[in-house]
Amino acid sequence: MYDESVMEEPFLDEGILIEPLFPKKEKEKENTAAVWRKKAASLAKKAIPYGMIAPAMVVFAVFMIYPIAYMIYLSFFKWNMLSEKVWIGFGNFKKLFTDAEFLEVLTTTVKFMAGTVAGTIILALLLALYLKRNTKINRFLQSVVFAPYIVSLVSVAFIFMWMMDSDLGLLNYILSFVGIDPVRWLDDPKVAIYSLVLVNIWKGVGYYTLIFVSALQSIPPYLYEAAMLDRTGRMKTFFKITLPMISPTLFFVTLTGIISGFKVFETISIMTGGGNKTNTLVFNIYE
Amino acid sequence: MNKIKLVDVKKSYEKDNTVIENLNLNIEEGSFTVLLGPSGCGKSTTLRMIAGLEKESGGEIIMDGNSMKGVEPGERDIAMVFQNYALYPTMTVRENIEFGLKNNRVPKEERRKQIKEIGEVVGLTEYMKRRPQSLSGGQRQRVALARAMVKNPSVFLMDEPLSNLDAKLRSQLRTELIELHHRLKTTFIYVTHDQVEAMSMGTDIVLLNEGKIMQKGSPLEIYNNPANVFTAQFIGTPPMNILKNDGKLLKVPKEAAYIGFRPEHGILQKSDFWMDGELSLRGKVVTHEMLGSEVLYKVETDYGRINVKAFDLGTQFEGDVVVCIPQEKLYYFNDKEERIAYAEEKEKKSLAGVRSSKITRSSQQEAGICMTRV
Repeated sequence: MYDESVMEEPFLDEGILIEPLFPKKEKEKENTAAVWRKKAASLAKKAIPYGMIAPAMVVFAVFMIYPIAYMIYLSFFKWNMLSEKVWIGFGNFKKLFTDAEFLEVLTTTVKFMAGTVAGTIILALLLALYLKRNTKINRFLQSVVFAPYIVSLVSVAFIFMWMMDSDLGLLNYILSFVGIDPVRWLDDPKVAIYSLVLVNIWKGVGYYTLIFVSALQSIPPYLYEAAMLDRTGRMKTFFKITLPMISPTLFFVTLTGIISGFKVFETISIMTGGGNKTNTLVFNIYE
Repeated sequence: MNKIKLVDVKKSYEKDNTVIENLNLNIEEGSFTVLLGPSGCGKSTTLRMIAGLEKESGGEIIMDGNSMKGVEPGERDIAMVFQNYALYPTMTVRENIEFGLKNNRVPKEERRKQIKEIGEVVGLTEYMKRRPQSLSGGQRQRVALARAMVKNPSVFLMDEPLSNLDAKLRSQLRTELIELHHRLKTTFIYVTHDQVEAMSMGTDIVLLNEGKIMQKGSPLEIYNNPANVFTAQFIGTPPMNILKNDGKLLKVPKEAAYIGFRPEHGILQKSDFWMDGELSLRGKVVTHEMLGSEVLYKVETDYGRINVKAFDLGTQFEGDVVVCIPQEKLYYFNDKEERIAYAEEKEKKSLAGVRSSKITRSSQQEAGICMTRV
């Protein structure tokens, strides 16, 4: 007869010990040499990537990190490159921030930077919103808007100097038609810095427009359709969908704008020579 | 009652690129209407025109008796679920659901209550603070559904909402959508190219091809009474076998240019078998696919390759075979590929469904008898 219990528990059958089919392996004595070899192999595996990027890291450290660190270190010393280095703590900073000229230069630079960045971004964004539809005329207009960017800043500065001339300038000539008194674009200390901002906006807006156009075109159209179905107004669509979607681009553009705003030199040097309250940081250092 | 009526609707993108021409369609209130058709047949365009996302080039769309000309999508009392979900990536799940409510100026308390309820319905309560990117495909689809449901629209529009999901999830969500339709009892318009989805979900199917309606009807009617060769071949997996009538086929009306039969109605026999009074075709088995409950044979005949489903898993056919098709299981089409006698049958529409279902059952019994005989 068929006996179920025998089938289920074959090892206990009539007390005979049947060797298990898969005996547990005895723990082998650890072979120290093998372990070390294994460890070395895993270490090498981990080290290889670092080895690969080492050359780049060395260059980066020598030419980027070291100069910055050394500059910070030096800022705590009184030193003219020839004399002994004398530790003065925050002395240099104290002197700098109590110097009236530096504060004025800093204010001018911040004004210039903020004006350029805000003006360029707002104008570029508006232009991009208008030009984002991929039509023939828009493609042509995009290159028109971009054109100033490829012109040398020196040439641009000279052309604008002529246009902004208080007596013979084109801008005042145009203003005279609408009955506005001539503006002393570059000669009035209250206006000059903003005139320079205008020149920089004109030069940079095309470049940022193109960046914004590509960012806007990469927003999937179905998001706008979903917004339409959600009964979203145009302004709300812009602020709640468009703007958040292009925020990485906006961040990049603002950052590069701020950096280039702080570094402005040619426009100042050529158009006003730092006069009429247009002295900025880099130009000040040059002076 | 008609919820949506499309009257002579046209859509063309350029002068000679007409997608839809004179589309007339009534969509009944509370129906689950599926717009079905191959890629580029104009089904999505039709849906988008109903949504107001695309303007019709001609004709009119009427909703609840009102013309929708110039009515913005947000004003149409509709909600749409997109194929790629179209969730706002910069907003959390809660914000996504809430966005439409905010725009409709729903008070804060009310919004909170509704979102809580909907979150429970679609099972998203614990994901409310997450962004769509950190959710799986199925979860995103639920958010999209929740966003549509929370608006409590009178029409749900769905544009292939399940096509980005894997097979298992798709079938699960299919069931959930059917349940949702039963619960809400609102009008659903669902676009798909998947006939299985259409058959399993729809109460009405509108089969489109090249911007024209090929047939409209219940899944059962469309399956059992295809009005033309296109419908016959589009619905059913595998599709209906269509043979060109060369006049040599026995007992086939002369006016029939094409003869069709469903794979499940073909009965495989060994080569020495011949059934009198039925259409019998000699052929050779090319492949057989085991599908679990049935075996699908591909048989090469003088009239082309045909599919035959056999339900007897015990018998395996190889080499030369005879395919017998009972006379009443044959469909005849004229040279314009339209069904012969379909018009008469259409008049007896109410009876047709009952009769054809009976036929299906009797045919299976017959198939059983036939095989035991072999």
